[in-house]
Formats: sequence, C-alpha cells, structure tokens
Amino acid sequence: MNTGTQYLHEVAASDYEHGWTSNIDADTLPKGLNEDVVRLIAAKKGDPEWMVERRLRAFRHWKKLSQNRDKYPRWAHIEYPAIDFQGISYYSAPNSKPKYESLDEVDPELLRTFEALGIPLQERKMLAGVAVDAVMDSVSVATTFKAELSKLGIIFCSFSEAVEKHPELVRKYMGSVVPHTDNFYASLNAAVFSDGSFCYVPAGVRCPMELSTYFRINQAGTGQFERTLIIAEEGSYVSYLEGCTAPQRDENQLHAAVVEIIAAKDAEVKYSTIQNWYPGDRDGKGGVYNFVTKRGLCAGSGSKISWTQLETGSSITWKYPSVLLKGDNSIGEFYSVAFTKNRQQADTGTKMIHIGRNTSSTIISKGISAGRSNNSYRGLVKIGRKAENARNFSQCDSMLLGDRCGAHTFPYLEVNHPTARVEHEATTSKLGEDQMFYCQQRGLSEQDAIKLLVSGFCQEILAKLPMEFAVEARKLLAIELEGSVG
Amino acid sequence: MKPILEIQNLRASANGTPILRGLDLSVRTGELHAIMGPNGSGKSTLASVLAGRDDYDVDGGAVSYKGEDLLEMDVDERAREGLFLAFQYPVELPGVSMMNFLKQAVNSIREHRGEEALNAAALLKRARDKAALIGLDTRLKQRSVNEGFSGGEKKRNEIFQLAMLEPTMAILDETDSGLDIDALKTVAEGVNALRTDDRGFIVITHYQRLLNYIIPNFVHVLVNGRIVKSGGKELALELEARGYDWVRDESDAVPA
Amino acid sequence: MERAMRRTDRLEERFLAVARSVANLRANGVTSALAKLRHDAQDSFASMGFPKPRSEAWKYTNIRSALRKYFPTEPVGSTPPAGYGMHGLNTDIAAFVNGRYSAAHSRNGPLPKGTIVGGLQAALGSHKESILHHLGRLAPISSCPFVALNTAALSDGAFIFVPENTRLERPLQVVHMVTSGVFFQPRTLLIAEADASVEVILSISTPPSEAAFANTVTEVSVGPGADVNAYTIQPERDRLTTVTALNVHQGTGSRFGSYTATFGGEVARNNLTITADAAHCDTFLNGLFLARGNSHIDNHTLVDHAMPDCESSELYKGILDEQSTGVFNGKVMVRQDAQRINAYQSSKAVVLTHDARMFAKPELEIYADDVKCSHGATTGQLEKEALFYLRSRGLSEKQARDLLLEAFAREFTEGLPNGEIKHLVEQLISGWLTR
Repeated sequence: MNTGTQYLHEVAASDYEHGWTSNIDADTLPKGLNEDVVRLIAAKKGDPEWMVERRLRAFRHWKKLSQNRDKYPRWAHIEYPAIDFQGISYYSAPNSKPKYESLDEVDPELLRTFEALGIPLQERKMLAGVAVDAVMDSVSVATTFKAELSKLGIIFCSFSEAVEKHPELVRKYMGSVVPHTDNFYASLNAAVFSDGSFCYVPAGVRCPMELSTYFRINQAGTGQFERTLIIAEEGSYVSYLEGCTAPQRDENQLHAAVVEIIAAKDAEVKYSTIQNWYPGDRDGKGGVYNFVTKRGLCAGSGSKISWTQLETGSSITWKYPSVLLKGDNSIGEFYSVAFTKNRQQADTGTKMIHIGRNTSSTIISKGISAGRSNNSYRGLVKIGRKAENARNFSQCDSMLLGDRCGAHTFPYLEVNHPTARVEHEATTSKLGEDQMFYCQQRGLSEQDAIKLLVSGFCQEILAKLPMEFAVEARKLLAIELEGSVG
Repeated sequence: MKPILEIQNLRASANGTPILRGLDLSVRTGELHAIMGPNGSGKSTLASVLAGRDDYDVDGGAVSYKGEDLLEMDVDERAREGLFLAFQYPVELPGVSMMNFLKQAVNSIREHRGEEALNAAALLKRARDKAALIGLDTRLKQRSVNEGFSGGEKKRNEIFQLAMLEPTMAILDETDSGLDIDALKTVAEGVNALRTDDRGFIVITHYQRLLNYIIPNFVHVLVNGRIVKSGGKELALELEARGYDWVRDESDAVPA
Repeated sequence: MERAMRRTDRLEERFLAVARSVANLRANGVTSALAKLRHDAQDSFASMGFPKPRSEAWKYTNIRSALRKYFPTEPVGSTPPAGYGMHGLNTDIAAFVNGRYSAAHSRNGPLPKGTIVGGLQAALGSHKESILHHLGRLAPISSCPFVALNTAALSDGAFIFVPENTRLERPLQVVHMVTSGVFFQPRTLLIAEADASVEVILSISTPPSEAAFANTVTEVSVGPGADVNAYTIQPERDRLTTVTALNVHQGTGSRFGSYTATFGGEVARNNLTITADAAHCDTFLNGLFLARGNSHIDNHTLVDHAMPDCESSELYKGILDEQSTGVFNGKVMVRQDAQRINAYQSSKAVVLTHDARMFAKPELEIYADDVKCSHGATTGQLEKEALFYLRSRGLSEKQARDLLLEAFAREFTEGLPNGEIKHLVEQLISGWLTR
C-alpha cells in the first residue's frame, strides 16, 4: 500500500468538531433580498441616514450585477450550484435585544456556545491578554477589555457601535479600500452587512494586547455578512486575530465578509485568521461558502500589513487577502496554510499591488490537499509603472495526501518597471518517501510520521501566528489530520 | 552473549536486479561486526533490507531478530523493537524541530516497552548529556532535523539519536563517509561509549580507517551480495593493504 | 451597445468571409470528410468569435484590437517573396505557396522509402485514412477560435509523413509563403510513425512590403518511440501579426522537443499544446523571445500529462527592450492517475526599459499525488554588479549589456539539439542585439 494511504483516507474522512448547534432565540428576517429588506436591516441596526444611503447605493449596484450572469465571479477554480440569493435570510440576531452593556446580560446559552468553542469571553479568563469581540450570526455579542484599551485611545468595538459613536471615522474609511463596487460579494456585503468589528489605533500607540474577533454562524438558512475595519494611525502597531466556526447543517450557508485595513505612515498591522467554518460532510453536503474580500492599504511610507491565515474549514473558500502598497518603502506579507479534505474546495491567495517606490512583498503559501478536495493558490503580483525598486518573493508549495485530490497554482506576475525584481517558485509533490522511512525507522507510526511531516511543512507559516493562536492552529491542524475526533 | 540477529541465506533485489545473493550473518549481544566490501557489493542494501525499506524485494532466506521474524515487521515496529539504522544519507525534515522529533521517537519506543513517556525536562536533560557524549553542537537541537547541517553534523546527529534511542541492534551504514579525521575520531568515541554487553552492532564501511578507532570483533567481506570471507580485526588491515581484488579472486575460484 | 456588437460581428465576418471564399475557390476534388470538417469549423468560429478582451486565455494580449488593423483579402498572383526559409543550413526544403506545395521552390535530396513531403490534398489519395485520423483532431476546432478559423478555410497544406523506423538524416524546412494579401493561414500535418525520427524547422514568408496576419496551425503526431524536434523561428519583422498553434500528441516512449525563437513581430502569439497521451514520454519546450519597438510576444503553453511515468521540462527566456511586452503563460496539467510525473518549468525575463513590460503566469494543475512538479518565474533587470564589473574592464555600457544579454540567451541556445540550428540562432541573437 502507498505511504499512509489508509491513514490518509481516514484523515480525509474525519469529522467536524464544532458542528453542534445552540438553542438560542433568534430574531431572523424572512428569506429574500430587496430594498425593503435592506431598509429593514438598517432600521434594526439603527443606522444613520448616510449609512442607509450607502447600503441602498450598494444594493442597487449589486442588483445590477446579479441580473447579469456574466458579472458573477466565475473565474476561480471552484464549482458550485448557482446560489439562490432570494433563499437566504440576510439578518439574524441571537435574541431580540441586539446590544449588550455587559456580559451579565448575555444569554447564558450564548456564552456556553463561545465557551465550547474555546473562546474565553469572561474577563477573568482574559488575563492572557487577548481582547475579544464575538460575533454570533450577524450581531456582535460582547467585546472585552474595552475600558482598558480606551485609556490608550484605542477604539475596539462592534461595527454598529462604531457607526453610532465614531461616525466620522466610519464615514471616512469604510469603503475606502474595498469600495462597494469592488466585486459581487463586496457589493452584497455593503448592502446587507449587519455587524462586525472596528478597531482604531491612534498615532504612536502600540496596542499592548492581541485584539481578537470570533465569528460564528448559528441560525439555519442565514448568511453572515460582517465587516471589519482597522485603522492604524502613524507609527502605531496592532495585532488582530480572527477565528470562525459554524454548526453542521445540510444546506450551504453563505459567508461574505469584508475586511479593510488602513495603515498610515510607519504603522504596522498584523492580521491573523484561523478559518474553521463548517466544511460540509464527507460527501460534500452542506458547509459554508466563504466568499470574503480582505484588503489592506499601506497608505503611508514605511507602513506594513501582514496577513497570516490557516484555512481548514468551509466547503468553498474564495479569498485573497491583499495589500495595496501605496506608501514608499511599505511592506506587504501573506503567509497561508490551506488544508482541504473530503470535497472541500479552496481558491485562495493574495494580491500584492506595488504602487510606491522601494515597496516589497513576500508571499508564502502552503497548500495541503486530501480526500477528493481541490486546493488552489491564486495570486497576483503587480509592479506598477512608478514602483521603482519593487521587490517580490513568492513561494507556493503544495502537498498532496492521496490520489483523488487536486493541487493547483495560478500565479499572475505583472511587471511594469525595469528595476523590479520578482521571483516566484512553486512546487507540488507528495510526502517524501525517504522522510517517511526516516521517521518510521526512529519508531514513529505511519500516522505520527505524516502528522509530524505535515506540521513541519506548515511550520514556517504557523510560526508567524501570535503565540496563543499558534498553539490553537497546531491543535486544529492535528485534529484535521487526526480524523477521529468528534 | 545472546543471539540478536540471525540472517540465513538472505536474497534481495531491486527492480528485478538481484543484489543480495544468499547472505548469512549472525550477531550476538556485545558484538561489533564490521562489514566491508567494494562499491556495489550490497552493503547498503543489507542495511536497508534489515531496516525495512520497501524499495527492495526480499526474494528468499530468513532473518530472525530476538527470536522473531524480522521480515514480517513494519519499519516502525522494527525500530520500536530496538533496531536502529544510522543512515548513510540522513534525511532532512524541513520545519520539524529536532526536539519534537526526538520526543516522538523516544516516547514511541518507551511506550512500546511499557515505560513511561519522558517529559520535556527529562528529555532535554538526556539530550544534553548524549549530545556532549558525541560532541554534537547543542545549537543544532534548535534546528529542523538535519536541515542545513553539514555532512559531519548529520553523521554525528545519527550517532546522537542512537544514544537517545538506546537500541538493541545498531546498524551503521557508512557513517564514516564524508568525515574528516577529527570528526571520525569523535564519532568513533561516541560509538565506543555506546558499546555495551546488551547491544549488538553492524558497522558497514568501505574503508579500514574507521576500524582503527572502532575495533570490531569480526570483519566480514561482502562481494556480489554474499559474505565471502570472515575473520578478526586483522582481516581489515589485510584488505587495506591488498585491496578487494584478492578476495574477489578467491571467491570466484570457489563456487558457492 | 448595439452598435458595438455590430462592429465586433463585422470583425469576425471580415475574416470568415475570406476564409469561406478561399475554401470555395479550392473546393474542387476535396473529399467530403474534409468539406464537413471545414463547414463545422466555419460554424464553430462563427459562434465562438475572436477572443473577448477579458478572456482568461488572452488576458494580456488584446488580439481583437490587433486584428482590427487588418483587412483580409484573398491571395492573388503566383510569385512568392524572394528569400524565404532559413539560410546557411544544410536542410531539405518543402515550400508551400498560398497553401499549395511548390516543387519549384522546394529542394529535396532522395527521401527514405515511404516518406512523404508534399501537399495534403495530393496525399489524400494514398494516405486518406491517416490524414483524416489526425487532421482537425490533434488541433480540434473547439480548442481555439484561431484553430477554427484556420480550419474553416482548410483545403490544402503541408503533409509530412515519416514511416515506421525511418530517420530523416537532415532537418526539413517547412516554409509557407503567400504571394499577396494580408491574411494567411498555413496548415501543416506531420505524422511520425513508431520509432521514426525527424527534425522540422517551421517558418512563414510574406511579402515584406505588406502588413500581414498569419494564422498558422501545425499538427504533429509523434508515434510510439518516435523522436521529433520542431523549431519555430520567426525573424524580426514589423507589421506582422502571427497566431501560431502547434498541437502535438505523443505516443508511448516518445520524445518531442519544441524550440521557439521569436525575434519580434507586431503581435506574436504562440500556442503550444502538448498532450502526452501515453506513458514514458519525454517533452521539452524551450523558447526565447526578444522584443523591441512596440512588439508584443505572447507564449502560451500547455503540457497535458494524461498518462503516468512521463517527464517534461520547459524553459522560456525573454528580453524586453523599448516599449515591448512579453507574456509567458505556461500550464502543466497532471491528470488523475498520471502518476510518477516529473514536470519542471522555468521562465525568466529581463526588462530593459521603463516602458517594457512582462507578464508571467506559470500554472500547475495537479490531480495525481505521486508527482514532482515545480515552476519558477523571475523578472528583473541585468545585474548591476555584473555590468559594473565588465565596464571596469573597459567595455562600453552597450558592449557590457549585450554580452550579458547574450549570456542570458545562451541557456536557450545550449538546449538546442541541432548544432547547425544552434549556430544560426546564435547569429540571429547577436544580429538582433547589434541592430
């Protein structure tokens, strides 16, 4: 038998750990989308008039796109039946009271939900120093450490709260990196987004703790459309973490989020994601469609935006966390591990758009495919006509665990300046037989050897995650490989 | 002096080409057997077949290890039963830290023996002691297994793992190749320190040089997949002086 | 919007009308099977149209806008341009004027028994089955609108047949010439039977005074154990747009090498599609492109590994000067169960000026696990250190630059299996550099 074939079949068939549902009263809109629904969402959120206008503008644009089949994003290496956008509920709140003043007001069942996910909401558990904003279905349920952060001038709150309390910041920056016309799902999000996270770090402030948002889709038949906006003023620093899960459901759920980051001169934003949405069962039934637009703008000189992601969930992942390198000497980074099994499909990568001088970007992507899954890297490196001395290095490695999966690499390298140096390397292979033999000769079982070698393959990326997250990421990857939990 | 390994009339081939053509060898505890032979005689094949590499087909013969049929065991089972191979070309494991690797290897074997798993502190202490024994730069332990190691460091790392895993039967496959004289001496000292009454060694080498520092109990000459001559340590010196041709001639003269 | 639609329709119609009338002109005596293929191709082209500007396969080459400049006419007259083919080579020459074999312009030594070098139509009598088995199948009309358009006018072309166990001692030049007219659609079918061995050099020749668009299709069947090298050499030439399709199927244990050297042209698009249909195939795709002026050179390659135990190796090198554009889009596909594939791809480009551009899109699409596939792509300028070093030894900036560029191109020429052709390409390179 092939190296680990049997074990790999087990891995490929393993179950989803977070697939339970919570019995929480929810205020869910009927299915369907039209201007009235958009107005209703705005009303439920208590949106100011300018926001209602923005939503409607986005909705009208999306409607135009949705009427033209050519405008549907179809270029990715993924296959799925047409989504019935009228068959989705665009708003669901965990109960009739959409906002909480303190954790005591939160439905205990909801807290148990987050506990079970390993998300420490209670402040007493927060000594580790992670501030958390938790978003259940469409509503932000709790944000911790708010007071402490505000002493430093850092605003960390739900998006709704930011709209209410910091409208000038939201008006200025929302849509400045990902306009509502950007793409099909970004338009949809701009129309119906319900909540999300907001973070503002003032000039010169180094955020002393990791900021973290956990997203969970709970309600059946709902989509989740959250927005995240991070603004790092001159010379500031923030590290931001995002995690997500969803219950096991037979129908596909749509998740179309937008994340925008703005980094001013010499600011640095590190954005880490562990994406573990429900991937569907082993036959590909159910699972989350994860169609996400994430983009950062290195607006000022010397700024830096770094995306690190571990993607293990979702039946379909379609996301390209990108950086617009506008400021001179700015830096963009993308580090990714994408693991797919069963019938999962992932088409993920990045765009590094070099606009300013002396800008540099690094892309390291590790794809692991098992079962009958397909895993694609798709990335664009564009060196603009004024991007003197731009540098890019890209490395995309794919590993195939099993003979019925696919691993694909689609890089686009566009060089418009002679001083650019763009280097791209990619490899695709299976686990090394010599490496397996070496480990087994030292007494490791076939299973342990595979786990060890796969985690070694990803080590470079996982090491980029903040400590706490790295531990969680390793565990998650081990569970995904283990195949027997749940 | 209990028998550990009993090889009888072992035949093995790779891609249909016979390499071992009826090899006999028996190793007891406390013994160190040197196997010498010209290039292509089957030395490394023997090591690989004993460790269970599946690039080779065993076409006949038997190997008994501690009274069990070795050829029936999986690669990791052999390792857990105490059979250790120091690789001629140690494999690089990118991203796999030395300590994590050692922890998993040591504890897999301990668990198999019914011993308690070593905790991180105990493992670290043991690693420090054993590294000192063979002069391994402790900084190497911070790195990925064999990645970016020099040739000499890789070979030392093999002996270091031997020390960590405490096997019953250790097979050293051309551990001396690519080592300068100082590194050779350190490795030899390490091996000598690990020679115990309850452990057997097979040392595969092309040159006599290593045997100046590791004194064998027996020397065997492997030609064309068969042991054609056996003797004491003085046989190695004779081979050094006269080359392999005379044994080859002798063996050709006497049909098997 | 409606007006725009009509305008694009007119572009397609412009070319299709000429293709139809060329086909009708020469329809006499053509078998019904060929006529059917042609009609299917006409329909297929009419429904596909030229690639839309946003189509993924033509992302970096706006071929519609290039084609708009051409007003196709049918070729008239019978005198081809003087000075055709590659000079200084000891080769046989098979020349085709307006698609028909021209003995007067050809030059053959005695050919091995059973070997055919001539016109497609003429060969239909003796090799009908073999021709119909391959023609339009190696390059299916559905694969690309340009293949459909070429096939839409198909009535004659070059036919090279090398029987089993036969080796052509000298390389064969296949030269397609057109006497006039700006729309030119050469067609070649090469069949190398089992264990045959042949080297062909493919080139075209159009009247130098006229702007021209050449839409070439070459189909190659490499039989089991056969060894075929195809050289496509396009010297520098303004006002010439070329779309060149080379479609190859390989049999068990065969070896195929494609060596493409493009020295310019207004727009040059080379589509290479190699299908390794059987086990133990070796495939080499090497390319060199040197561009200056407003030249736009686009190399598009697909190596499709459908069966196990094959190897492919691909190397493309480009030098982009002035306002030129280079594109490399190479895909390696490994299908399910095509195990134990080694596929290697490398593309390197030097961009010399602020206005030159390079787009690279190296792709891997892998569905089998026991594979070793890799690609590397680099784009940059010449090493400053190296330039400085040479200048410190007294070389002028231009000398130093040319020396380094020649060295850069050498990786391509070193890989050419034929010494004479290698020498010729080296001369073309230094000629290009010193112009």
